[in-house]
Amino acid sequence: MGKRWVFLVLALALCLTLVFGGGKSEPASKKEGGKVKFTLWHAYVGTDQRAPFMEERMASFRAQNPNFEIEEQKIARDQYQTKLKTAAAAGQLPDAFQCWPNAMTREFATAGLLSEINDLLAANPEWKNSFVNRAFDEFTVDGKVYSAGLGISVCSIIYYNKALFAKYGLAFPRTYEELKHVVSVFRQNNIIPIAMGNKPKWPMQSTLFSIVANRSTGTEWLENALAKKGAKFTDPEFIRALEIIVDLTKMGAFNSDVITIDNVQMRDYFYRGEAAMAVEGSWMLPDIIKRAPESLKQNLEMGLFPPIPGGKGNPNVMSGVSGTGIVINKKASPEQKEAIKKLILHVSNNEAQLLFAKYGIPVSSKNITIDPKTVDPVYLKIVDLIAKHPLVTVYDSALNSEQTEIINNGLQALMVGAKTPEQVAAELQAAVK
Amino acid sequence: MELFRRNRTFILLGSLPALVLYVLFVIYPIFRSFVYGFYEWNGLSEPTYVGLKNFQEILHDPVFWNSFRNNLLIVGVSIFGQIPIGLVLAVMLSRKFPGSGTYRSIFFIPMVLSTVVVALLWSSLLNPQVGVVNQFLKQIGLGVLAMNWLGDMRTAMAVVCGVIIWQFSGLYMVIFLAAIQNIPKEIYEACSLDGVSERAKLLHVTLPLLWPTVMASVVLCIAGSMRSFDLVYVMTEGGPAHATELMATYMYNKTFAVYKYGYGSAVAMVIFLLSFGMILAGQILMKRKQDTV
Repeated sequence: MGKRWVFLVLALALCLTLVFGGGKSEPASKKEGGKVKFTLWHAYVGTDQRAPFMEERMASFRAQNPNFEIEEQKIARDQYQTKLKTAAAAGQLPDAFQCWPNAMTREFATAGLLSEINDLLAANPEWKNSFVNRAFDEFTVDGKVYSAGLGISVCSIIYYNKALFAKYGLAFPRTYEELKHVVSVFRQNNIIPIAMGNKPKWPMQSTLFSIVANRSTGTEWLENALAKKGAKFTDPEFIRALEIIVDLTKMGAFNSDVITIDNVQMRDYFYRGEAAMAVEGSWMLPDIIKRAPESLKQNLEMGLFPPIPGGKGNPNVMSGVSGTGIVINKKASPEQKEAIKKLILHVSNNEAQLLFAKYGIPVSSKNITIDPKTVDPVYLKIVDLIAKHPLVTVYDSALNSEQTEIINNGLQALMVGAKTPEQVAAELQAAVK
Repeated sequence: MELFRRNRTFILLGSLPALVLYVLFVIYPIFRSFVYGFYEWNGLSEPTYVGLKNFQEILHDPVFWNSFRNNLLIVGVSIFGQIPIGLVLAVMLSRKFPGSGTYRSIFFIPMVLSTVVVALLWSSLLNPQVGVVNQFLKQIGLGVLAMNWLGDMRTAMAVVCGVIIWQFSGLYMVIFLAAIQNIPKEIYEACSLDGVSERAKLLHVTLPLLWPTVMASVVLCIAGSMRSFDLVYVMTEGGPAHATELMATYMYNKTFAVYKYGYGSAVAMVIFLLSFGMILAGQILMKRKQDTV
């Protein structure tokens, strides 16, 4: 008798597990008593330069819209894209999420996962016209706009310590030959010429190689090479750019542990005055404002990579992209879409742009006049830089993920002498389809 | 066995929920991922069937074979490094002498540390710019030996192997210590009465009785080494220029950095087949050895 009871209880338990375990959970994002619920994933958290901005902006958004219930998930940058793409593969994308411009937006949009915001632009002409072009352009696929970039990221800035330059009687290099001279003088005096951290493999490509390649090939060449229109990665001007990276490495331009530390660790050499220059994007700025010693801040200047002999690129440009933006899942309900559009406005309107400036992020609006008294003096330097130099695209934004992996690994192989520039160029060309 | 026969229905039924969960969350996904191996899929668009294309590509990718070689190297240094070192330490520390307990703890500490900690610890020790190892070498006049340990293709893999030995020898020491303590004292007493030398005791009593444990350790070593990932991922991310790439990091990169989910699944299947084959081969070899002992 007792055994039969046990049997029944177990069988029942099993049935319950199957019913509840196997059943599809209800989508958590439905209208409930007039409340609109939606999920939001982003990587503006931890050391991300936009973390304090997002926190402040989300708090005010929640306060202004008590009828929205937002389930916000903040995921660290390194895991974010992995988690997002895994969720996409499983068909479980959140209603709203942070998306990178260009390549990533294109991948998601062509897979039919995103909902456009063209009507939002049409309904708010004033907001729309306040933006610099790339804030929308880089989120546009086939005429459909999917988001507005939250600020701008300048990818290649040479931050330099003018006290160290003065100490050795040097000026910031205006030509490639001068750069080589500067490197050798610092080398002789046991100062790291350029601090760089390429263990994650993207920094060299994003912060240095993209602009070196542009100096050598010009802007249109890259578009033509990717579209297979009369340009190839095996062209001499591209190989020349790869050779410059080899040259700089051989000259000892970088810290000796360039391959084994990351782009955050390398900053310490620069902050401590052990390195004369550091090559990084504008995302280093909030970190400088927060962590760099006052003595360095006073001597901090920013410059661009000098023109290279025979280069076809405009030496006045610098590489950069639009900041990331919030996009809308195609599967979101109409109420959710309206709510998320409100959020997109809220994190990119004039008020939000002023907050960008406060936290040291270059703004993506033309309407903002920056009050020199309210922002860090270091930030003014980048504003000045952006005003003077037009932006051109960066490689990992223009290339697809496979090509990006080839160039990232290829640059590392060049630096350790495992491959020749010709080999890397041929590999990259083979991945152009 | 009798117990099982009497309660068969009950036992089968009792294990059913666990079995269902296991099949649903372990077995099914594994087979599902095998199926994806035959598709080209970036995780966003619909998968397209490509037959054996992924597998052909894997077998023609020098980076994959390089990572396989690195895995074999790790298997090699694990079997011929960790197990002998573990064995020697265990035999030495099985004796009671002042401080033997302290030594046991010291040798076991690397095992207690998380792999991430181990990786970061060694990365900073070996850093060519500020690392202690190079500075020490320069201090004692061996500056020529100072090098870019993890940044040089020739030394990176050797360094990784060294750290793996350092990390896991303690584990095998503990396993062997436990096995030595399980050897009946009577045998040693009988040996002493017969006037057997210490050396003979070690060679003819301790080692033969430890053999089954050594066998189990070899299987552990192979299985552990074929799926090693974390240490390399934190220390070098497979670099410089794929020099320390392992099969698992290769799979991870293809799946989660380049988003070729189909290709990544195919790599997973190849890893499974290779590891399974090696464990099988290892067991057959060890069996034969055991028969001759």
